[in-house]
This record gives sequence, structure tokens and C-alpha cells, in this order.
Amino acid sequence: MKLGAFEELVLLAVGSLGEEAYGVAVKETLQQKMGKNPSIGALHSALYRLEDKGCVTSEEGGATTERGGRRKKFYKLTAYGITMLEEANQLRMEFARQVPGLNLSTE
Amino acid sequence: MSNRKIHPPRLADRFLKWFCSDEVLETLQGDLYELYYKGRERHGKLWADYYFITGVIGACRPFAFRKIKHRSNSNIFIMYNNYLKIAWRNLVRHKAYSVLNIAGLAVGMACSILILLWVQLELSYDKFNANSSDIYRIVVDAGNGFKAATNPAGMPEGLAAEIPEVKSFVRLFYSGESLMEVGDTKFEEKRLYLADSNFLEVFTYPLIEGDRKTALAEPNNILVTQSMAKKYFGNEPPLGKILRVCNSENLVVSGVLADVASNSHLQFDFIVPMSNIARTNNDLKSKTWDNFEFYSYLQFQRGAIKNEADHLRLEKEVNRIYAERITSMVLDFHLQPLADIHLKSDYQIDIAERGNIQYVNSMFVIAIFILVVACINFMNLATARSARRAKEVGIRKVVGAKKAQLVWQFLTEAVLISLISLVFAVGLVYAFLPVFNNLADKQLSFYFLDGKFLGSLVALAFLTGLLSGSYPSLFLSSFKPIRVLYGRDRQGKGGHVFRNSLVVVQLVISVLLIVGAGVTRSQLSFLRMKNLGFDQSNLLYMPFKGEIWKKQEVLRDELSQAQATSDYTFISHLPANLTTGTVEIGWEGKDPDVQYVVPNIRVDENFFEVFKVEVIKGRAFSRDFPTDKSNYIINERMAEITGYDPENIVGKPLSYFDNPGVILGVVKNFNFKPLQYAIEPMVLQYSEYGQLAVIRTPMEGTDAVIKRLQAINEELNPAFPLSYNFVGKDLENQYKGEQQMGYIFNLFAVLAIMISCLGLYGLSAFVAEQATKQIGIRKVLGANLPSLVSLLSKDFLKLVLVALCISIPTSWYVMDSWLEDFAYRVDIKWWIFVGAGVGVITITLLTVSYQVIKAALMNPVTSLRSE
Repeated sequence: MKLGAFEELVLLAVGSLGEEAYGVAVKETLQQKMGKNPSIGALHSALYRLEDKGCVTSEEGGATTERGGRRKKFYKLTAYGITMLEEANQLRMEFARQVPGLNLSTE
Repeated sequence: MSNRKIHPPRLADRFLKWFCSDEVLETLQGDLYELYYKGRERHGKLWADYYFITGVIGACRPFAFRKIKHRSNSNIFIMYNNYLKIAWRNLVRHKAYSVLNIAGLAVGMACSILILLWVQLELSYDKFNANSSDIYRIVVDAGNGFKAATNPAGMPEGLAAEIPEVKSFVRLFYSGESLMEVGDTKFEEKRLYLADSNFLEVFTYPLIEGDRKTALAEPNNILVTQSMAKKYFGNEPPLGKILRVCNSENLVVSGVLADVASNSHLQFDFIVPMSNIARTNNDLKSKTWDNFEFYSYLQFQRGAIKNEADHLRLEKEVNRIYAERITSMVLDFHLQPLADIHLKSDYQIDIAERGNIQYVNSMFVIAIFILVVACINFMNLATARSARRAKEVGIRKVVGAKKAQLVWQFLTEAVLISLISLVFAVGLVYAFLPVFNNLADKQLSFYFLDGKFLGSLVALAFLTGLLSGSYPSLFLSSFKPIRVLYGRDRQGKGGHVFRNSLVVVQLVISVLLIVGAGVTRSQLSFLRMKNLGFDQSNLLYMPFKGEIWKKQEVLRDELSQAQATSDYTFISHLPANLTTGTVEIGWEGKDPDVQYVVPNIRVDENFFEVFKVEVIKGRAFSRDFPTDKSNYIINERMAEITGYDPENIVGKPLSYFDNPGVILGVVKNFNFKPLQYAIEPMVLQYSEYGQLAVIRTPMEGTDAVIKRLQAINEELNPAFPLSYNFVGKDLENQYKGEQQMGYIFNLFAVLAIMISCLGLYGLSAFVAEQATKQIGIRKVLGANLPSLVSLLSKDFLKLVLVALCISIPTSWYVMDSWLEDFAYRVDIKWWIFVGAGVGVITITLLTVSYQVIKAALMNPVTSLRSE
């Protein structure tokens, strides 16, 4: 199973947020880090897809007033999700190495 | 920080709610709200509204509609498990109610299954024939109520020659009883027919041995059924064996037929080719078109008769061809479909064992009635006991059960109970099938392993379950949790009106069935007791056979010699089911347009005395007047039709079969046909030779007469065993069909009433239980037993009265239209209704009283102790 480009970014965001990964937080992270502003629908759609693929698990949290009393759904990266991210990254690196003159230093 | 006045655009919000599944909505809406509030603070209302709306529209994609399936799936399975478990616990816990419920449903279903088996058999007549849809029988309506199933011998061939759609034709001829002999095995056989040689090609009766095409090729062939082969030849191979028929002819067995299925209108044991009598039978030799002695079947080309228009066109064609040949009679021929012969035939001179579509329909209605009564029991008990389930319903609703789920729960329960009942019902049917077969004189069979049959049984159980569960499930599932859990509310009182109307329906059906049974019974006994115009008791008859034909004078001497047999007469036909008749009758001033089929009986001079038929004008036949042989005695009806002056009718001219004579006398009307028919005109002729001897046996002297006849037969006619019968018995047999229906009707009436009683019993138990405290308090305050009993029974009595008001006019109407079919009928007596009313009231009170008295006798200490 392959990850789509957007899915990969969402997965990275979920991972980087740790315990606080829910819809709005993920959206804001993506906005800050990537300068992207995905619609909430696209984001939820991707999150459900990732859940189906087994890359994330979800758990419902408490209700808060700033959400009109609606509960948050917190996502968490699974071991499989981590493997998927590693694979995707590896694939990209291997491919990138074959490109002459590409600076791959991570610093 | 946000307050309630700040709200995202409501239309978009509502749209979101509409398209999102519950699972998705919570978090998606939460995220949208959070973004909205944040955005509004930072950028203002307009910006936030815009982003909310686009956000909602952007979320309208497949993920939002989905439901999380795996979870709800297992839920349904678990819930059904739970439903069944609860249903089972309820059944086991309340054993008495369960028994009432299951017994009622089982008996009801068993009745319906039996009746439906019977209905199915009646409707299946002759459909096993592969050519069934192409075969039509020619029947004729001669006007004035005379319709016959017979045909002239030459007609089918003539029709086949002129109508191209006719593929082939088969004629049958019934030759009466025949003596069959193989060695010492000797029997009189009644079920022998002569048939054209293509009989087996048109009718697909299975042939077990022999060749279909050639089995009837030779004049001395004979086909026998399997059981007849066994009767005459034991275990030896029957093919090629010799059967001696009527002590005059040896026939060779050329084929063995399977025993004729009971759902065939033709019932035969032997078939002899028509060529056997073609040399001697005048009708066959002359190919007559005006003597009606044969039964003719036309097989049309497949697809030639597609609709009613084709059918009518061909009937018209038949009538046209006949009218071209024969101008002396005006007849209306019909083509009767093979499958209609059993149920829809009202033709006289028929060979078919006659069914009655009316009986089939009414039995079908009764089956439905009985099932409905059983279902009503179930509904009543379930709703009456709803208080017991009210808490369960309340709790289920509180933990989140929806109404639809509760409806399913109670339907599941009802179906479970009706499936359990089905098992018992099948057992009952199995046990009572032989009894029912005996009663209905049918061969119903019951194969468990037939998939279609099993399927329809299960379908019946489901139908019953759904029907009987429908109301209780709607009723129970609509309870309000707050009210039922609060405690004091008596939910059992709800549905009061509906429940009462169900009881009324049950009682109405019971009364209908009781009145039906009563009226059929009195009509049947009326038919049996009806004065036929002659005295039918102690009349013994002996049909002539073999040598006797030639020795009639000797027989006369022999009979006269003994005191026991001296009261005898020789006649040509019994006045039981007279099937002859001719239109060739004339008198002075006869209207040429009027046509009557008038039968005749040839009698000797003793007839009037032996049968006790009264001569009211003129005189009886006498040996002293040789000219009597060419003159006539007529009945009152005939006298009316001639229009002769009643005072001077003796001596007026009359011709019968073109033999002119005069009227010697008039006899009082007597019945010579079954009582469905009114008395028709008839003519008596004088002859010393008859076809049978009728002897009025002295009281207590029947044995002596039989012994004497035995001796005479031994002496005059040693080749044939003596055969005799009683006129009274023959007459009784004419109403066998009605009698059987009467028995069956009685049986099911009783069963339906029993089932209603079960329901009433259950209901009264419930009412008594509910009133326990009330009764306790009343007793403490000094009420006595009678007043308590009347208090509790009063409601039931009201229901009975309402039911009587509805059912009496209905039953009167229904039974009156049944009686219309009889020319002689009883009036429906008022006391039948009184009887039915008193009966139903008594049965109801008896059923109810046990529980009521039990409740009224209870010690108030026990009933009031606990609260």
C-alpha cells in the first residue's frame, strides 16, 4: 500500500503533534510548516483514509466550549504508520541520490 | 469565550447535519465550529461565514456519508440473539400462557393446513394430464334446465372433419356393471369404460406395461389397472392373460395402467377398445347425431384456443355444424375445459365424480377464518399481558433502542412462537390426516420432504407470526419510557377498544360457523326425510344379469310363489337419478317453439302398489287391457305442461318417441332425480319386461327375501353372483358430497370455537389477575360472590351481544344463498339463531367463569398483603 503525497504530509503532521493531533491542530500545523491551507473536508477525508489503512488510530476526547460542545477526535501514529513514513522517505532518498548535483545534507 | 448568540450560518450547518452520518458529524462539526470561532475573532463575521460555508461544501464527499459498518453488524447479530433469548425466557417463565398461545396457533395452523391440502387437491383435478389445456369435453344444454354431459356417437368425428383446429377426439362409453372372471375369481366390476383406441395418446394416464400406441388396437384387448391386475392375476405377469367378461367374451390383457390418480375426473379400472362394441352398437354403426349416449373429448391443436374469444368462436362453430345436420332439436353445445370438469360442472348424466367450486371457496374462507381466530388469540394475549413487558420496553428505550428495533423484537418473538406452533401443527396434521381422509373420502397425502411444500409451510408460519405479531409489536413499542418506568401507570388498559373488537371478530366467526353447521345439518336431514312421492323404505332391488334377461316370466312366477317376495315390480329405471329423456314428445296444441326433455320409466302393473305412487286421475296400468302398452300415464307436472283441462285429461292424445297413444291416468308428482332438481315432467309406459326387479320387503323380513333371491338366482342364473341393493341407500348416497361437507363443516366449526375459547380463557385469566386488588377491597367491604362474578363477566357478555348483533344477519344471508341451490329447501328457523346465541353465551361464560370464580374466592388477605 502506498501513501499519497497529501496523506504523507498529514501523517507527518499527526506524528509531529504527538498527543495533540486533532483536526484543527493538524490543519494549523500544515499551514505553518508548508504554507498550505487544506480544506477541512479534504483533511478529514485523508484522516479517515489513513485510519482505514491502519497508519493512525483515533480516540475521542472531551467536549470543549470553543467547539460548540463537540468532542475532539485525537489521532495517533501507529507503528505501521511509522514504517510507512520511513519507507516513503527511503524511497525518496534513494531516488534523489541518483540526481547529480543535489545537496542531500540534512543539516 | 464564545457565547450562544454567535453561531455559524445555520443553513450550512443544517446541510452538514443532513449529509453527514452520525459517526462523522461529531468531530467534523467540532472542527468547523472551532475554526469558525477562531476565524471570527481574527478576521470578522463575513470572513468566518465564508470559510464555514466553503468548508461545509468541501466536506461534502464520500467519507462523510459512510457508516462504520463492522460495529453495527455484530450489533444486529447480538441483538437478535438477545431477542430470541428474551423470547425464550418469557415462554418458559409463563408456561400457562405459552401453552395457550402455542396450542391455539398449532390447532389453527393444523386446520388450515388440512383444509389447504384439500383445496389444493380439488383444484388439481386433471391438471396432471400433459394435454390438459388442449382437451375440451362436448356438453349440451337442452333448455328448460336440462343440461347433459353426453354426446351422440357420430358428432365428434363430424366436428373433427370440419374444424381444422381439432387434432383428435376420444369417445367414452359406460356399459354399466360387468362380471369379470379369471378361473374361480369372479367379481362384478363397476369401473369399466369403452374408449376409442387413441385414448392413451390424448389422455396421458401412465401405462406401466404394454405399448401406448397398440394397447387398444384389437377389439378383444383390455387395459387393467395395477391393483386389478393384482386382484385377478396375483403376482403373475398380467400381459397376455385372458379375462372373461360378462360370461360371454374372452379379452386379452394388452396393457397395465397405474392406478388412476384420485385427482382424475375419470375413475376407471378397465378400458376396452370401442371397436369391441362397434359391430353391435347401433349408435356407432349409424354414426348417429341425435342419440346422446357417449362422452366425447376433443383435443385441439396446441395453442388453438388461446383466449375466451377463440373458445366462443369454436363453440359457435360446433353449434353451427350441429344445426346444419339436425333441425328437429334446438340445442346449445358448449366446450368444457378438461380442468373445469370436476369443479365447475352442473351437467346431468355425468361420469365425473363431482366437486363443487363453492365448497372449495367456502372451505378456503374457513381456513382463513380459523387462522385469523388463532392470530387474534395471540394478539389478545400479547397486548393484554403488555403490562408485564412494559418495564422491559422502558429500559430498552432508555438505553437507546429505537422504535423500529422494538417492533422487530416483538415480531421476532411472534415468528418464533409461530414456528414452534408449526412443529406441533405438522404433528397434528400427520396424526389426523387419516381421520380427515376418511371423513372427506379423499386420498390426501403429506410429504415432509417436498421442498415446495415445506417452503409453503414455513411461509405460512411466517405469515401467521407477522400477522399475529403486527399489532402487539406496534402497541408495545410505542410505550413512553417515562410513563412505564414511573410505575403506577397501567399500560394493560391501552388498546382496550382494539382488543375488544378482536374478541368480537372471533365471536362473530364462531357464530357464523355454528349457524352454518346448524343450517347444513337441518337441510341434510330435510333432504333425507323429504317425502319423495313414493315410499323409499324397505325397497330392495335386483338388476337383471346374464340368463335372467331371457327368463323374466319364470322369475315372475318364482317371486310370486313365496310370501316374502310377492310384493314385486319389474321396471326399467329406478326413480333415483333418472338420466334418460327425449324431446320427441307431442300433444294437442303443443307450442312448436317450446322444447322439454321428458324422461320415461317403463313399469309393469305392480309399480303403483309397490312404490306406493298415487294415481289421482284415471287408472293404473292393467294386464286386462292389451292396448295399455301403447298408452301413457303422466305425472302432474306433465299434465300441467300439456295444458289439457285437468278434469277431462283422461283419454287425451299424447305421443312419445313418435308413438301416438292416449293418456290413461295422472300420478301424483314424485321425485326421480336428486333434490337439487325440481320435479320435471315425466311419462310412464307399460311393459312386462324391465331391467330390474324391485321388491318391497316385509318388516323384519329382509333376510328371508335375500335368501329366497339367492336360491332363485342359483337356479336361473348360476354363472352370475346375486347382486342386490336398497333404494333408500342409493338415495342416501346421492347426498354423500353434501353430507361429507356437513361433517367437515361441523368439525371445523367446533375447532374454531375451541380456539376462540382458548383465547377467551387467557383473556379472562388476565382480567381476573388485574382485578385481584379490586376484588380484595370489594370483599373486605362486604361484596358477595355472585355480585363479583357478574361484575367480571359483564364485560365479556357485552362483547358476546355485540358479536351476535353482527353475526346473525350475516349468517342468515350467507346460508340463505347456499340454500338457493336446492329446489327443496328448509326455511332457516329462528331457533337456530337462538341456539347459536345461547350456545356462544354459555360457552363464553363457562370459559370465563373458572378464572373469575377463582379470583372472587381468593382470600383478600393474600391479594392485599403485598404492595
